[in-house]
Amino acid sequence: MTESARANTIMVLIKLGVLLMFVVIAFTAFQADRFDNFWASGPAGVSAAAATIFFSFIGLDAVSTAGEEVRNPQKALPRAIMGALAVVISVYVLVAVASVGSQPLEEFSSPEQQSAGLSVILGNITGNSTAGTILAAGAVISIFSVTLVTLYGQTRILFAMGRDRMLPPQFAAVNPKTLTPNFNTVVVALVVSLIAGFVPADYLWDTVSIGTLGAFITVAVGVLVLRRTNPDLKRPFKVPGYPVTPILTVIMCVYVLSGLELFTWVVFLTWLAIVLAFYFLYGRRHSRLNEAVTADSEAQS
Amino acid sequence: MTLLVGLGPLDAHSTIEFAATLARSDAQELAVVSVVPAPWPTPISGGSDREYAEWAAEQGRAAAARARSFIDEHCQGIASTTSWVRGRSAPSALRREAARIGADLIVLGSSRAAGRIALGSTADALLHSSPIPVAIGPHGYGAPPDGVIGRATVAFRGDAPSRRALRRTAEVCLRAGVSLRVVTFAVASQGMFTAGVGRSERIVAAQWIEQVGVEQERAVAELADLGLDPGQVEQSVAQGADWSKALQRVTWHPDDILVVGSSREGRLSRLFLGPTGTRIVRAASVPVVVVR
Repeated sequence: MTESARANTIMVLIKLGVLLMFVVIAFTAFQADRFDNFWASGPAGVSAAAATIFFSFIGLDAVSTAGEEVRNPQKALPRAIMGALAVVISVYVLVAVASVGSQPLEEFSSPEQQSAGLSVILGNITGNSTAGTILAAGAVISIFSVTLVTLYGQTRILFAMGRDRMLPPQFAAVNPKTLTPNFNTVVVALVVSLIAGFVPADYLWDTVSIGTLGAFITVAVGVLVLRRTNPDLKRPFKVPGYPVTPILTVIMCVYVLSGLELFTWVVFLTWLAIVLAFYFLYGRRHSRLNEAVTADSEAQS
Repeated sequence: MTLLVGLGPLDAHSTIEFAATLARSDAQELAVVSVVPAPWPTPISGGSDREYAEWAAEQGRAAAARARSFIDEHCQGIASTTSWVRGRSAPSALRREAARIGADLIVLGSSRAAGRIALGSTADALLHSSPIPVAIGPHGYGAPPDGVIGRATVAFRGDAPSRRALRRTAEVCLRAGVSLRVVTFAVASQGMFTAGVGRSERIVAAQWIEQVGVEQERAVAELADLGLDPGQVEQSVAQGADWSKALQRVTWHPDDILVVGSSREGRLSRLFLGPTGTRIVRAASVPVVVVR
């Protein structure tokens, strides 16, 4: 196993370890009657919670990038993604059940639990701060590992877009000595630290969730469109249950979207408008795809 | 015997010319390697660094191809391979590659300061971690197509590491037919004017030089058992107000090379170039080899 794979495994074990610790401690205070009135808010409660928590399902597609390293990826990858999904959902549900059963419902809306809920629950149950601190440390480690990959990935996305000339050429520039896109690293670091410093986390979660849902809808619609416009395309993996699966995906995503606040929609649509404006004013005219298209049409004529 | 040549992004040609000069002097092979950044080691959402990894591979292929055509044109008759590897850092990738092919020496160039040795981050890291000797050529090093090393100068300090460095250099010189010179470099202290001890300070310096001179005599005499005639070895002591002036006290030819011993007798079997060694290397105008 490589050094980085080992580091990754250790961090995953730490994350699962602290959650397991939480579940075990929370179950010591478990009372079944705390699930009374579970459906009190009706379906609106479910969609509101689902919309906010949806960002947790980002990143499962990372499995697909390992496609070159596995045997028979058409079979192995869908299995791996569904398997990861099952593991993630089980852990989430276990943590949610344990925490709902551990304290009266009203306490979840206390101000201190808004910021570090699980850690406060542990403190209330055990009467001291040790377990809560361990959990918080685990949370920091898991945020650290995820953030590092995301920041790194962002610099490389900007690099790829710069090379496609969808962004100004600085984004495709590399430091001649290190061969790394240093400009992107600085830009990403600045923008991310400004956002992290000035925007409250719950707005961010909702915005990320709405973006993810938008992306999922786009993919599902893409499946529908491509099956019609390009039926003979070579498809190493075919979405099973067409057309039910993509249509169901769109319906579910729209349902979850309906649980988001108006403010989130405003932020999302404003951001989309800015990006689209940039695309039409800059990216579309500079894109390297233009050359390919022109070359094609010249070849045909 | 193989020389691993680590090509930096700048001044690759003088690094190759320097390595080729070493290879011609001692009939060795060159393994020319460029290091490009490795992609993220674990899967990333959306495979977002795939295009970057592909681009880096392109750079590696291009660097290897450039090295190939340069060698074919300017360094004929030298057995060589050109390749590229991905690495998280250039020093670690070069160490790994050197171990993989069983190289005997790592050859690097200097990225700036024409005519001088400049220790970039890669050279600096390897001078403190390489398990095998490291040679560094000055920026803009050039040699005629059949150029060889004419003389090796060992920087002598009178301690065990420099005696060892001298012995190893003498062995290579005998084999390769290169003449040998031993020089003790000394920096004269500016003196402590306020304390009125400037004179005694000079006496101490003179005493040290005398001692090292005796050590140097003895070390050279000991080389006789290798089959080297001690009379053929040039010897001198060069003193200056700073390292650069001390080095200028002796004459240097374009086909010279300076050998500096790694300063610690390590429990770790690695190079460790101390502050004095580093200053000598930086002041050198000819290529430097740091040996253990």
